[in-house]
Amino acid sequence: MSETVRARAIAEVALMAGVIIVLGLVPPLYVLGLPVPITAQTLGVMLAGAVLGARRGGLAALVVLVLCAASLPVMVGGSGGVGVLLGPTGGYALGFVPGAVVTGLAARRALRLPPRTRGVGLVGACLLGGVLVVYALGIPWTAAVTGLPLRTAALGALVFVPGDLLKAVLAGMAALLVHRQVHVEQMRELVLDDEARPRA
Amino acid sequence: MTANPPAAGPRIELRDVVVRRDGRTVLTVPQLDLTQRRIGLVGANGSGKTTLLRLLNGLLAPTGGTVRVDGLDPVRDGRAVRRRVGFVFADPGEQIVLPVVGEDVAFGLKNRGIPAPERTAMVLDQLARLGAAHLVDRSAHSLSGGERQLVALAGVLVMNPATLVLDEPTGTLDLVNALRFTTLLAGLDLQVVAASHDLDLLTDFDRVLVLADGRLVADDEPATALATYRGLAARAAAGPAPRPPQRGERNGAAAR
Amino acid sequence: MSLLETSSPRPGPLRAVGAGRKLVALLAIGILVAAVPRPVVLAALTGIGLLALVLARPQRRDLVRLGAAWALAAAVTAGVQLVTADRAAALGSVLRLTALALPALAVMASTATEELLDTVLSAARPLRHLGVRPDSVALTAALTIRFVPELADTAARLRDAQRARGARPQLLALAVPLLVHALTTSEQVAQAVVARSFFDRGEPADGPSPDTDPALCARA
Repeated sequence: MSETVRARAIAEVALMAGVIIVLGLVPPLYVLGLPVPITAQTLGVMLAGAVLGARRGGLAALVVLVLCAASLPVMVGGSGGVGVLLGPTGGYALGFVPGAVVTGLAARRALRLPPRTRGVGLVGACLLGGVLVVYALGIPWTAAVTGLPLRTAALGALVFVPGDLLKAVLAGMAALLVHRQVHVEQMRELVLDDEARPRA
Repeated sequence: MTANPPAAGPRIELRDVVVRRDGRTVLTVPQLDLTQRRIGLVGANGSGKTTLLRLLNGLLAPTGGTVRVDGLDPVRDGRAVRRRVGFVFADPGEQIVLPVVGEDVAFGLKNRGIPAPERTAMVLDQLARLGAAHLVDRSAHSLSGGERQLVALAGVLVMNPATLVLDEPTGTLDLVNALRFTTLLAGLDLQVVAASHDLDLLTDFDRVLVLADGRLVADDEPATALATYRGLAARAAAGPAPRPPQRGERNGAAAR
Repeated sequence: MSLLETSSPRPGPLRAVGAGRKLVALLAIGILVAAVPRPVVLAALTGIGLLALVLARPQRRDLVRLGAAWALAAAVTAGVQLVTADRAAALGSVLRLTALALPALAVMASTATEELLDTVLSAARPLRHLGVRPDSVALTAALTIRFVPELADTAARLRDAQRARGARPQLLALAVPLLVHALTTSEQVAQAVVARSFFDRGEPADGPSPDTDPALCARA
């Protein structure tokens, strides 16, 4: 029944958007003695792509941005509003969508790797989408809004990189574990035991 | 909205129904006619109760055989069947899809194209009938377990179905709320098909079916059927533990 | 914690202006700030923003919260500019941030959340031609709002369980069960959405549904 398929799409996107939002509410943690606390929201974005794939993951990120634009407190720490999107860190927020999409595309390929390297592949996918793409959008945006030269904005962003690298590792591992426990149709390319599972 | 059909309810027929999942046969029903007003379903977890229920409103298609509700195929004629059959899920929280009670109860009505003022009236009326009118402006999240059950039920009853299918309706409720719910159910003027572990709920039913390992093993008036079920359960309790759920089974698929 | 518990906008001249117009204006200001950041332009925009803010009559709570965010960003940026460039650059940066922050606050304070949500969602209407139903978009947003508090509760319970085991809260041990829970919940919610006739919209007569395909039927 294509109705159930469509409903599943809606529900998966909505619940994943919820996860992104809730992870943004988890208090930031100081890790590895870094001076900057890491927040979990981009972890959610990476997971959205790695678990649901490019399309639904990207849509989940988009839903979060839409709710943010509607002034709902969905961004890290419970902030929201158009001001967040237009402000200095707006690029990082807007980067959620392409970030999730790229993560999803790369993750789908990663899941086709032999079991031993899948985890690494997923981490790579999260690095690509969750760090590279997001920063590629975030840094120029900051520069454009604040008037800081690009290089300064980039250097400023550098301090967050170690934390985000760690997040990508966590996200990759988490995604692998999730795929082992739950059947996500659109990512399913013989993930579980590499046995063909007959359809009902 | 169509008026309630006569109390006997629609004719639900299953013929040669087989449901297979992941290579296993989870349900086999050679022949079943459901016409009584109160029909219960008991069985252990994984016995096929939920599977059977979900055949009735088209949420699940049988691998083989036919299901007919008033002559309609729940898969092909889903819209028509859903008009007749309302489904209350085991976890009411997952059935309440909108943030505010009033708008959630109106969800089905809105989907049917009922205009706003009429919707509001119907919602308030239905909530009032369940003694839950005071919940209309509450957020879904703030509801207690018993309140959630009422709101979920309201959302289904407001659509005026001819048959109400319930999956473990008192499963999330404490005793007080379970008893309240049982009384509520008894007062409803439509056909009820309920899967339940709650033997109190089923004692006043017209007919109780017992499922084990995907097969109907008993079909009787409540006292007899429940005695059969108890016997089965006792034997099972004395035997080895059941196999653990398979990896990769989602909650909906795995035995509850 | 309900996402919808936001303050209602105060009555005022800006209240009557449509949310769509305000958002477009805000976007235009944003583009101007980035593209033409000359002091004259920035000063003018700041003036407009100040006027808008006065007209919007924001609640003190919002003013404080957003003011703090602005102050932090301004302080950091100004600090960096003072170190790496000069005072003029620092001032320019602060002006840019202010020119953005004031009208943004004015818009948020003078527009109801529901109105903003409706406006943003209606921007999705053109996607209809790509096969994306506006109703589906609205439902997705509503479902998210509905389940965020539930997911937050689940996350809290997972954290408590970790603490009860004597472990420090680990992100991985939180994320995986949370996701699994979200996915299994989404399966049930999807069933409920179908069972409650969401896809039966727009069909006055009872009859066969055109888009059923037994081969794709629900397995779980």
